[in-house]
Amino acid sequence: MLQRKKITSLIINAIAIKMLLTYPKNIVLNSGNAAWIQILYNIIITVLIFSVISVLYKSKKNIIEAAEICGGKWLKIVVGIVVAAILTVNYISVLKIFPETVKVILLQDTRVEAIMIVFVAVSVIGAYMGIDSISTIHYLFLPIAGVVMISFLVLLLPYYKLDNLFPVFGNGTKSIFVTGLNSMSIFSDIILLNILMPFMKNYSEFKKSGFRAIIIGGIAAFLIMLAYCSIYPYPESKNFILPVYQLTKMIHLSSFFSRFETFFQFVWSILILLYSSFYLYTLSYVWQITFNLKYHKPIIIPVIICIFGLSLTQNSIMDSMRLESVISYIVYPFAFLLPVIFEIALKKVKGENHENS
Amino acid sequence: MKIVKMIPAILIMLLLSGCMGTEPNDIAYVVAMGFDEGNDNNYKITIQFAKPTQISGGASEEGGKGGDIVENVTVEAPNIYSGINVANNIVSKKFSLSHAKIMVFSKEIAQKGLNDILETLVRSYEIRPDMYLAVSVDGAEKYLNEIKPVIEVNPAKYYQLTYEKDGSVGIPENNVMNFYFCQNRLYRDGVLPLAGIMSESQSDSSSSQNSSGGEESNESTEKESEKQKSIPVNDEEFEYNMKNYIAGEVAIMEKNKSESMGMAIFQENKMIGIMGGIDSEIYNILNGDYKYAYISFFSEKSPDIPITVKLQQRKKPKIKVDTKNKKIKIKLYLESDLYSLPANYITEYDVTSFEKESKKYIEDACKKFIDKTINEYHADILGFITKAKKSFATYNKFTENDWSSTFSDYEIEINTEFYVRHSGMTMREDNTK
Repeated sequence: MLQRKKITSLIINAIAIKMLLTYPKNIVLNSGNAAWIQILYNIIITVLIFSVISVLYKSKKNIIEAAEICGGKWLKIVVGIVVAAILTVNYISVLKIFPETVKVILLQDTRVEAIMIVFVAVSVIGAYMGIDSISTIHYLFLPIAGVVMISFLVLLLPYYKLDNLFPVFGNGTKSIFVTGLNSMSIFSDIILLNILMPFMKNYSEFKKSGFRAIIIGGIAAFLIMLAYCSIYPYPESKNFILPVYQLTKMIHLSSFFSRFETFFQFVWSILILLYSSFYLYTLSYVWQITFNLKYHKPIIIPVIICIFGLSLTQNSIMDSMRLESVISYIVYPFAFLLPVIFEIALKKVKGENHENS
Repeated sequence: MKIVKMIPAILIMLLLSGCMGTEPNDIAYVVAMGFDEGNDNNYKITIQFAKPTQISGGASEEGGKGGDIVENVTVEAPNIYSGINVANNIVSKKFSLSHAKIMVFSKEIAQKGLNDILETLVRSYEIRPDMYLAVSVDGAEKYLNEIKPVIEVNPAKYYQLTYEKDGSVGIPENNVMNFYFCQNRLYRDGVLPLAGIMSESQSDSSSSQNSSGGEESNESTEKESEKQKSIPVNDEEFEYNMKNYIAGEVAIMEKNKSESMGMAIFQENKMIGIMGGIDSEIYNILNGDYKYAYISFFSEKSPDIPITVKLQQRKKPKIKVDTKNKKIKIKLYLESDLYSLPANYITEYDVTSFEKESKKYIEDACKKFIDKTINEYHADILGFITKAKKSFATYNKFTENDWSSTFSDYEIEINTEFYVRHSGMTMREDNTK
């Protein structure tokens, strides 16, 4: 069984990590300088949806196991494949975008495939170590990342210009509150919490970890977005691929302190490697329970080879970013709806069984 | 078995901890670049790079002198990186822009527009967003060739101290990223510091002074350049009796002929005009970037001798734009210490009237400055537009309102809080009372 604090750390990292990559650009593209309001709105909606899920979901089974109870073996396989597909598309964009950005900002002379191989190798080692090790390292490293993030936000204080947050509704209320729902995919990794249900002591762990992860991850995303919108004026703000990295490059205190991005690169790389290990482990675990396999370890290498191959289908970082924006439209409805649908179905099946008996 | 497991770990530690590829010693660090007009639509790019052996702390403990610490290479190319590519074939080391401190553009290039160059600067992974930009009235190559720091042995430090020092209010604060934002008129119009070199007659006089001294030196002091003489003395009450210099007109005796003073005004990244050092001071006050400087005020009680104070900005100005009534309200917060006073007027006993008088002079100078930028240059260099955005709910509604053609109709109201805080180490007694 995993401790609640460790599960929470896993989900916080899964939510917040997207903000360190190209995700903020997509939000700014949608709602302009009101991107911070969009994130705030997404947090509120996600908390409401998660409240509904946690009211409905009372069993200690994850959606794949619930599917088996509701519709037998074949439904379980279908749901397992859908869940694996959601996780795979989420993972592909990170697997491609991270090495590409590392190449752009750190290792310009290294082939991106070489960076990807090292990245994949580390993720495989992490996944082999198991969920207990992954969650423990998450739990140990997250406070360090938090300190770096707070220092980063504080060091940016001289650069904040609140005037850049106006006009307050940016590209319009429709962009924020209607099309802005798509950026709820930042919280789509909450589905991982459901999959990890068998590793939790009881149902209340799911509820508490979920709320904490959404709030903490959401606040981190909100602060990053607020800092970016108040420092980079719109429409120029929509041009930058890695907004957080761009912000770290701005930090410059007189002649004695600059190049804060080196701290960021260190924390950023470790957080993404932890995220990747966690994702790879969860994907292998999904295949394991979907097909009733005894162990997950033998699937790790085949899974990563498939994902690595799929990620190579994107020729450039531009392709990966377009894919990421498409993913944001597809992924989040499944991530939020599947647990609700299966809990309702599970209750119905249990009710029928009770009536029959 | 444990030893077998440790082998990969040891190998990783040994193999991945070293430098692979380019060693720092194989890199030539560019400290400055200059852009002049070249032939066939190309730029004449001057690359100034540091000579590490001449910099103090390098191989030579003492460091080099003046121009010894840097070397310039000039090539013709259509953009920055093709220029670097050509220059890489000229010197033995490979150029890196990761420590570049400044990019200087000739006046002609600035007038044509800097959009293309800016695009490269912002896209580049190695160029830092806090790198300085400047416009050289005498040409970028000439300016960089004349960089001969006298008291600095680190060229990067020289540029940093020149363009970022607290008391340097004769030039506006700037960097690549801020200027990039200014390419969109919906943010504000940009300004860049002016760089220049001492005119020929000035440099002749200074070199003869430096080399010969004595009688010749006295003779050359009399040879004030025509250029210098032609600059009128400011008869406004703010910076009374001072000259509104631009770069190239300031130094009279200096080994290092390069200087920076004044500012170039841009509209959508095309230079449309230049303003002097006094104007830059007012710009910094209105923009909230003013730290401190010694300012001379006219006083009715002592019309011949100006009163000099150390003027400081207590807090950033408050600017409110009322789009309905077409009014711009500016509130300035300044304070000062008395530094240089006339012997016959005991200002310490008449501080209130001096404050009142100076407050009016500051407001008048600011109004004149704003009037000049808006009506003469049609430029919003103070970013009133960003304040006007507050009156609109969405970006579309804001862009529908044609700010650039209406902002010249706005009425400007300036209100200043100005106090004298200290009188230095003395406070004279008024014996007549």
